[in-house]
Amino acid sequence: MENSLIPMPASITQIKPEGQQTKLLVLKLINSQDRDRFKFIPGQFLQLSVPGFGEAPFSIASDPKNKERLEILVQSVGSLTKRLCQAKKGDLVGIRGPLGNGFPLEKLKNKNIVFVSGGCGIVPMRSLMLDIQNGREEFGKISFFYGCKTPQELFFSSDYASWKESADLCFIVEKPDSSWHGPKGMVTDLLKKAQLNSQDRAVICGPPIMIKFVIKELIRQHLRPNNIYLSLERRMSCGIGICQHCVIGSKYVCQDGPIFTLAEIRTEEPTLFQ
Amino acid sequence: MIKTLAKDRLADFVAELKKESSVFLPMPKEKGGDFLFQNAVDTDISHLKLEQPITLMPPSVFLFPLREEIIEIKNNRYSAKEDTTPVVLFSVPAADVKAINRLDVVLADDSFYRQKRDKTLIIGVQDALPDNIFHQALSPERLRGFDLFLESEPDSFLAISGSEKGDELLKSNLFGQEVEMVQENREEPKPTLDLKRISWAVEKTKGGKVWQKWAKVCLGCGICSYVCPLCFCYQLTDQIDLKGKIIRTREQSSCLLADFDQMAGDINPQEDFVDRFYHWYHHKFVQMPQEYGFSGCVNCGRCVKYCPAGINFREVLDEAIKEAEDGE
Repeated sequence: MENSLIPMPASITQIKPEGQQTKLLVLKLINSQDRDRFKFIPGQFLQLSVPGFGEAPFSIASDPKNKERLEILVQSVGSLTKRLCQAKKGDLVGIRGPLGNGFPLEKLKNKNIVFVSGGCGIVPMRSLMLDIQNGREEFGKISFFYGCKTPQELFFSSDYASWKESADLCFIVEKPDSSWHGPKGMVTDLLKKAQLNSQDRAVICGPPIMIKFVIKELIRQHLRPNNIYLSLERRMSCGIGICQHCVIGSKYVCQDGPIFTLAEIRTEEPTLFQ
Repeated sequence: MIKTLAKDRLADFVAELKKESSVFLPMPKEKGGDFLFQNAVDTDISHLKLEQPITLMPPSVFLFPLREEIIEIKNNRYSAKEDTTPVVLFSVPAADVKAINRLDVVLADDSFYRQKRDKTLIIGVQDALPDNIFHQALSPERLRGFDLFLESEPDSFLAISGSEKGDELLKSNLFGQEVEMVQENREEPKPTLDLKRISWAVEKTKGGKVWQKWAKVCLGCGICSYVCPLCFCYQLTDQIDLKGKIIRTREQSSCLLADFDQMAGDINPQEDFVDRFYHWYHHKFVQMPQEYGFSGCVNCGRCVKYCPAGINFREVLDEAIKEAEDGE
């Protein structure tokens, strides 16, 4: 019987700073059979094992069709992530995954999509954007709204030039400095000015408070709860729907999620985001 | 297959089992203390009675321990720890057999549970809860998942086999002739908890007075989770010893404790204790029936016996039902 708690060995092949406390890590599964079998869709995550520090879940940031680069974004907020941010090329880690349900791409085809993210919430958005770019003609108009506290925290800035060709990009920053010439405020301020269509699909990821206000604004613009997709997070241990830590109502964020529609999550937990 | 076992041969049967396996049976921790399943190594088992008080920890801890070293990590190689010592759990009450059946479903693809489960023999016993005030109405022939079940008759035991391993055990000379199952008019066991009603009431009263009231009484200590045979929340932590050996350990968690949902960024979705208190009931009586078709409770009574705040979950559920009915 395959043991779903045993990680696959992997190594860190590249480290790229993405801000003061944040790094992009490129991972490579060591065994070729593991590499061949590791197929993910945007929105899925992996449990990263750092020997001695334990495991933590990370959204996959990379293009599912790029077999050479399995990427995650790590922000130093605790002992495990601090250790990862100090990692060197060649350091060994473990991977369990891909886990979770991912975005339902079929439901997004031929539709206009509104991406809304804040801070580290851009991670699953990036994987989705890169995958959409693999078959751009299958999707409608894309509006990409992204907000952060400071300009330095606008992650994946090296991708923006390429994304501009596929989407309308709007960035906003809460605490600008002299280098920032864009709008100041929260991502909801951008949405308020945008003219969204009630048939638009929305994908949202960010801190809970951001999600709450974004939902309010999207509903105000008549988007439908069944077409609003949230990427949620919870504390995780097993990642395979048994240990109960990630449950919202009766649903497992690690199995039934992390992607939920607003309609679904309201059934489970009516007061969430209210 | 059903055979008989003379009452005075019970100790001999246990001695025979001890030849091949470690046998665990309920024994008091110390004189007058709580009963626990302990290794019958040197203990004089000739006094063994089947009417024991409920054990503090359920026998399921032998299959799903409170704390278990599961993976050894060396040079980034992850190897599962093995545990293949044959074990016999002897004198397991019917409620605990039922609980193990349910864990078999929940942890069906958990390699660590399965390894322990496959090398464990379950020898059940007719309900042995002398201070049990709750009607247990479970008869062995409706129970599954045991290897052997000993039902106490006036003159002997009826030894009922529930598996191939049980059939093997019955080959021993200690057992008498095979007997036909007596066709009695056994009453259909009445369910002791009306699960449908409870499920409906717990869901309906979310945010209600009953939960506010009892959450104030509850100490949030989590003892109910630890003694419950059907609490299986867990977390994984890495421990490093002085020689640098890394062991990944699985520890049971309690959803009542404050850090159950704690996330980085100081975010805790169940920060309010009443939410965590409600969650325990919701998981057992709403989520598990939806997910598995059975509840997370076999009415063993341990949480009632060991709750330091004196909470009886049946009272809580009765009040939830009343509140739900009043709201209709």
